[in-house]
Amino acid sequence: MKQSQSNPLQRELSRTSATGLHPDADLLSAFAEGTLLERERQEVLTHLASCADCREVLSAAAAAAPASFAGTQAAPVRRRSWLRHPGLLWAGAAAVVVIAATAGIMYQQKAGLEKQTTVASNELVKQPAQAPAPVESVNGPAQSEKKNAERHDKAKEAPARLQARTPAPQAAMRAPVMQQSAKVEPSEGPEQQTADRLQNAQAVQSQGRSQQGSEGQLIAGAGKQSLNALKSEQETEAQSRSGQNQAAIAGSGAAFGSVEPSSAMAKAALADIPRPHWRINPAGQAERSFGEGNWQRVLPDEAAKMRVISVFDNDVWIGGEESRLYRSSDNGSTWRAVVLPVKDGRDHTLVHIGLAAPQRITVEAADGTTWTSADGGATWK
Amino acid sequence: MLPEPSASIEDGAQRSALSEATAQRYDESGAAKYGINLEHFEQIVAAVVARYANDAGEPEKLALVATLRVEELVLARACTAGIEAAWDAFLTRFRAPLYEAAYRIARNEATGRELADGLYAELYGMPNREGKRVAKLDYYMGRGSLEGWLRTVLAQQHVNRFRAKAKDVSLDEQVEAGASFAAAEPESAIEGDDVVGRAVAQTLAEVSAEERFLLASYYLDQRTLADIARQLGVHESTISRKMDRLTGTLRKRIRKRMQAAGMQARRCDELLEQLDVRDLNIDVAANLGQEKPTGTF
Repeated sequence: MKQSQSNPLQRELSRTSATGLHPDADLLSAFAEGTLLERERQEVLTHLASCADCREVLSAAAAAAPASFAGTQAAPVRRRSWLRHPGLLWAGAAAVVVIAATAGIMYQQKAGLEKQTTVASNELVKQPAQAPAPVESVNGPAQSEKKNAERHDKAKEAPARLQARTPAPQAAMRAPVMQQSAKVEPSEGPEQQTADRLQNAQAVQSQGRSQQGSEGQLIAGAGKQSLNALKSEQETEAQSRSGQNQAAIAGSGAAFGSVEPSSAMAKAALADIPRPHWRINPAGQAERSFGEGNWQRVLPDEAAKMRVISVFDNDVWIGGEESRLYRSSDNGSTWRAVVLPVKDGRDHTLVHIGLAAPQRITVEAADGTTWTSADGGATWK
Repeated sequence: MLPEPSASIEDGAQRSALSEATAQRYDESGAAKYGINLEHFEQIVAAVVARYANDAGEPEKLALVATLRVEELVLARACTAGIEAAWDAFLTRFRAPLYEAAYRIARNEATGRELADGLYAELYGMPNREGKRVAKLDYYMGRGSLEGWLRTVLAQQHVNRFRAKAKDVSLDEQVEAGASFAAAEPESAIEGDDVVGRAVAQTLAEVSAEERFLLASYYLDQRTLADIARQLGVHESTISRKMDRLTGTLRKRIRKRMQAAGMQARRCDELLEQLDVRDLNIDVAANLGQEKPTGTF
């Protein structure tokens, strides 16, 4: 349909056509990222003002950016409390410590009743399927019991923690993987966790290969790069895989696409893309990685320190100080802020997010205050 | 005739400053792990400077070198040189983001996969008629992030495909889709259009490039404020404030010009009411089809 020319403003805007050369992809991406020199920025802006093509490209590229949260997500309302008065902060802090200790004891008792299988960084942690540990941490000691006892202390001292919970049916589905990982000779502390993660990742990878066929093999090859960081013995095989990848690329333009494209295959491929690892760095910033230790910050505009990350399949929840709570339903590509109802007239430091089921969420603050939602976070009590 | 000594010294000093700035970035580029020495690295950076700031002064060249994404630039060059470790690093870091971006751009899994696969092959490169491999990664110049560049290239290819596909639609399909072929609307559909048109044209000629970009994006392309904010890397509320201020200023200026042309205030207001272009029915695809690419900067 031809556009209407009846409006003088629209007609005048569309009258000027693009002048000069189109900016290349480098300039457009640098423009979007704000890294152009001022002279170049003005040149690109002048061109964009009169070139619908380049505006379309810029828009499509910006919409595909994973950090779309920063530009579009409205920041949660900051509630300024009278408790922020410096004189009262110390008294408040002391009260929080007492309450947190009490809440910790209460939680420890309650935690024993929870039945949730926990995985670290979306990789399965070796656990008997019949008796999953309620809470597991990436950088903590292997003994779950000890961790539970020190749960709230750790929340203060070592904010880099991660909780990833898997519902019981999925844990049952992954039972063969767990059995395979049980063959690993037990070792102590973090080494054991690393070995377990490696074995589980390998098992998942081999499972993926058998299910996905040749396409799955190629994708699994990329995932194998991250395994190299965990175990040097895999280097030879990974290089071989890498060689296959490049051979596939060099062989034809249908690299990674030699299989007939179909919706089911595309979905399978999506599911096979390496799932991100999560952590909170010492500065209290949430970070995501797809392997090789390349951590990228999520929620870049968030100044408050994050304290807890919980993962349930593609659903990722991040909570922290000042009652900040964020949710992503696509493994961290896009985020939205979740505003909890104000309790006790002040902000809280969120230290635990329980995801017993996709729709049932429990958020707990350091002082024991809890919020529950039975509808996936739409409403809270 | 001998060259001016002072010019020669100045030129030498400039080269020295540029070389020094480049050398300072060598270590952080990680070029050594791909076997790229300092001399080769300087050649890579010099090519970027020559492309984007050949005629610029020294400060601008230095600023350009300082803002380059040298680590990713070196990775791209190492990939095109066929270094296996570089390809491993590239695949590990950028394969998943590339496919995710393709799915988001295409909004369709099959098309997204096809788009990403096509670019993947081009990134590695295909032999040309002379048998020399031409890799798309060679066009990455390190001005923005490599991931952002990949997204932009994907977006360019998607828009090009869309445009090519749109041209292939037959007349019958257009008729079936409900497209009508009525006579073109008269140019002066609004009463007093000459006065309004002149006032609008004069007023728009005064606005800055950024303001014109905002107006075109919002009114012509019908982008949302959130879309525009994402493109400019600012918050939506910033764009909202700018648009409010801009439209208010434009209206005042247009009104002033219309009154200066002898139009009564009440009549000005009536005509300006018709200038609310939010209800305009604009087909972005039609706009895309009207413009032809003429190369790149």
